Amino acid sequence: MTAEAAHIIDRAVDWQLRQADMDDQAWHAFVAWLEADPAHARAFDAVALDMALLGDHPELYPAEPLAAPIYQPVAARAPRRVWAWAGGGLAVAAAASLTLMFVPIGGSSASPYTVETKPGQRQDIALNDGTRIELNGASRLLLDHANSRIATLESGEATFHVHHDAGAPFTVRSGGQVVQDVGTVFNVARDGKRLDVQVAEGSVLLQPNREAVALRAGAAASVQEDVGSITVSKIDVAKVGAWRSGAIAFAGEPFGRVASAVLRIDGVTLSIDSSLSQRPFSGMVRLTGTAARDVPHLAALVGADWHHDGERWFISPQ
Amino acid sequence: MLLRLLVARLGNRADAEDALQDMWIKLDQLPTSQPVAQPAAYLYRMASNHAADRRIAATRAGARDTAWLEVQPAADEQPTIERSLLDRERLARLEGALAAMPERMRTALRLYRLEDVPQKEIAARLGMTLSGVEKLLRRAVKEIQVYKAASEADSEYPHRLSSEGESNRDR
Repeated sequence: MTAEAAHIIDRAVDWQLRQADMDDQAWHAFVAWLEADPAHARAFDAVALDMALLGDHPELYPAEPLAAPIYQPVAARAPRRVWAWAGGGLAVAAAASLTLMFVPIGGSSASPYTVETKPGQRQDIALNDGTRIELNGASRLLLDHANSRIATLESGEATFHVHHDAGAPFTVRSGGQVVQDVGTVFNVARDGKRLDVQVAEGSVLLQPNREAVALRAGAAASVQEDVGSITVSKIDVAKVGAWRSGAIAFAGEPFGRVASAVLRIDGVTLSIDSSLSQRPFSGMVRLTGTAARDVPHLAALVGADWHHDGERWFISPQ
Repeated sequence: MLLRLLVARLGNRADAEDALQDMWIKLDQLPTSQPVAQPAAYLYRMASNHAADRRIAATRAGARDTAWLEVQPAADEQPTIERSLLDRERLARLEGALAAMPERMRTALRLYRLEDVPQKEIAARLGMTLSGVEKLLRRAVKEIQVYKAASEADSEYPHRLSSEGESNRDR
């Protein structure tokens, strides 16, 4: 790399790190710098892209070697959690040579715990600030004893009834997405790289520090993290979190998505033949919680066959 | 000035105007009660984030006109194998750069980017001064660029990566 290229990178890095607190004048200087040379704009583009990816891809970071084995599962599942280590930098140095001093501490520091439901099971969670969370089956939610205003949906689905506090907005994270309440009842569901957010009351901000997509009551957003798109649509507020009464609503979505609802509500694994799983499906289905009743019903809706091998359920074309 | 920033970041006027349009729509949707300390700086920051998101979407989908916010889902928007390869390559280089970093530097970067910890608090946690953290972060980001430049030079397909970086300008 030439000295000039290195210098340009230095400047690009500077500009990137300063963005959070640049004033009007600094922004003018930044634009002038970008315009001065295409190499500047290119260098900044590379830095900005990398920084964005570093914030969205926790899996890029190697596992922390200092983490004690007992905490590793939590740390690995939830890399966004903040872990405090006693004594700050000193302890970091000491832990390398001595025994571990890497403990989550109370008070202002994070003290995460996980609430997990089995397939077919569900659970109500009451937080001490008055917020209530209904967790669907086959779901995992990470909460924090030290901070009841943050929750991380690692998998599955939950309906949040948030006790609103303007000074401390309630934040739900999932994958690379952040949902922030503005006085709200809303539902969040994760299926692999897809995250669905539906609002029944009040409103939420999706990605409050980035895109800040405001979703009001009756709005539904679907984020495809692998494609990098957000689709906003409308939903009947009565249908938000309808899973709580066993109902699942589809609006032209791939039929294959019923499988995760069946896992969460009926607690069984349903395999849908690939020729059917992409077929668009619309309508409302009420699941009874008993796969033996629901799977044949679902199969009939799409004119397909079903069978059961004692453990798994299958839907395939006739 | 906002438009100039977007043009400089996105490489062409059409995309920039499109992005600006998106921004106004989003601003319009924001709750009105939200107080903003420095409105101009806020707008610039928003534009800058917006540009970064568009660039990510562009490198992912390989299409310069891919908007981050879509009103209708499109089934044919799945990234092709080659396109997702580009994305993966970029991620693989980042992963390599992180692995090659001194641990303390990586920790600082992780706290800053992934966990959104303010620099002041990072300093307290790592037992450093604020300016020490600033320098460490600057070195970390630079390290990544240097690492990438070195591994791109080794790459069998250097043309592919450099053309990716300029995709918005060339087409």
